[in-house]
Amino acid sequence: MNTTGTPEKLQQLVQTIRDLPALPEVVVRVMRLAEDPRSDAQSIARVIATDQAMAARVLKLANSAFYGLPRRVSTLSEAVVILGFRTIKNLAIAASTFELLNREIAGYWLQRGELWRHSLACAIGAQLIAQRVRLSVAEEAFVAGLLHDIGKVAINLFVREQFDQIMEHALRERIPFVEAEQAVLGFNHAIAGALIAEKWNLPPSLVSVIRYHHQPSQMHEPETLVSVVHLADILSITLGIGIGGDGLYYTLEGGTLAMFGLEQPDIDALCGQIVDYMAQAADLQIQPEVAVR
Amino acid sequence: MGSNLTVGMGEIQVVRGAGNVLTALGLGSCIGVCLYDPLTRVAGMVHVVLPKSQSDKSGELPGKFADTAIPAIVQQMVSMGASASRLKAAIAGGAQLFQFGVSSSLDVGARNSEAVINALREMGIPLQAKDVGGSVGRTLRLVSDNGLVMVRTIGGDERELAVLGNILASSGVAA
Repeated sequence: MNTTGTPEKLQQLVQTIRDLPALPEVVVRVMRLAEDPRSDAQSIARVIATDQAMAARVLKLANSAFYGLPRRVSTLSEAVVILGFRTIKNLAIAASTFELLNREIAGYWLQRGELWRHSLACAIGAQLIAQRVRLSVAEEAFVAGLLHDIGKVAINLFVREQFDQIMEHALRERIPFVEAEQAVLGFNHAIAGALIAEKWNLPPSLVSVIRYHHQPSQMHEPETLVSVVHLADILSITLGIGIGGDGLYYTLEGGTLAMFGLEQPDIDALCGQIVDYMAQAADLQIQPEVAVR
Repeated sequence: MGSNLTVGMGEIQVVRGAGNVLTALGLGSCIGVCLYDPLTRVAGMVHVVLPKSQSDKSGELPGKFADTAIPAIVQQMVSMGASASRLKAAIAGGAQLFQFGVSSSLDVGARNSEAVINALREMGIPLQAKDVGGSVGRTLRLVSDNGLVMVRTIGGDERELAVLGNILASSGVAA
């Protein structure tokens, strides 16, 4: 069997990614404003308000259990003031990717909504890990966790065509599913995801998380955020939240737990917390069918 | 008026009478435990997440931990008319990450299997069939008419694991 991807296939992937929806203009503007020290809460709120579906989702996320706000936030400007620019920027990115992540991903045997659930569990897990080990990146961790598997949307049809070959290759060579994707298709969901993130002009730190979320040690300069998301992904997979035909055919890189000083009881506690937060976030898992664009 | 109930993580569902189906979706390291009383047709399923409860935490779902889940579901089934002495069990799940030859602190699946099997043994409930381990995700179904237990491997086929209502069935698998 030819296990190297053909150039035509790579061309098709690039075309598939080109055909994916762009990041909504609103998000691009919010991202720009959030980085601009001269911005104020009013101007960011006004930009979000131009997209009603987006505004509704941002408010829903802001009022969800993750942010633990003591009272209900009902206006966007209030949300921006209380949560801060960076959080609002991340909420806007999260809200805008819901449609994509909520799709059925038949190549991985994921029903509609399953990839969103998995992504949400990973986002929650990443934030919990970051808080537990007192990293300053807790805020970025949520959105990084949410986006880590976005590449599955792009390579869905390729995997669907060759799922059996990929699985057979993984079992025969005793390698994780993501490495078998690489061997059979010539690319994998992490690479495809990074291409999407670049197309969307997401910050380089997010591109790196998506690109290396299965192999943090392969980065030239290892970044903690990547390992945080790697562990959160592995915990969500282990718990079976939104897992597909690729099941638990993944590995945790050696040294990850030691890096964060985590031991078995910590892992059990983290798993328990992820499950609790997912139960609280039930209303984020079944969102109204609103077209963002 | 049968119902089709999904048993979420840490949840317990108990039904009585024919026409009900209980389902646990996406079992990874978690264990789906099916219990059935053939005489009263009381059927129960619990979706166990972790082996052991932390005693200092109140307000937890009892179904979340193997050590609290089994006594809790048996109690619920008895309150719906089942007899603890007639209950039979089948379990599925307990998968592990794909790490050949590497021992892992993430062996939640194996610890869950062990804890559930021990808890069943302590309650004197025969384990009729099990499908645990490996690296696959599973979906588990229990039909209340006859205690039929079906397991589907995500990305694979659905197959019959046991018929817990079959009173002629042997006394169970070696745990």
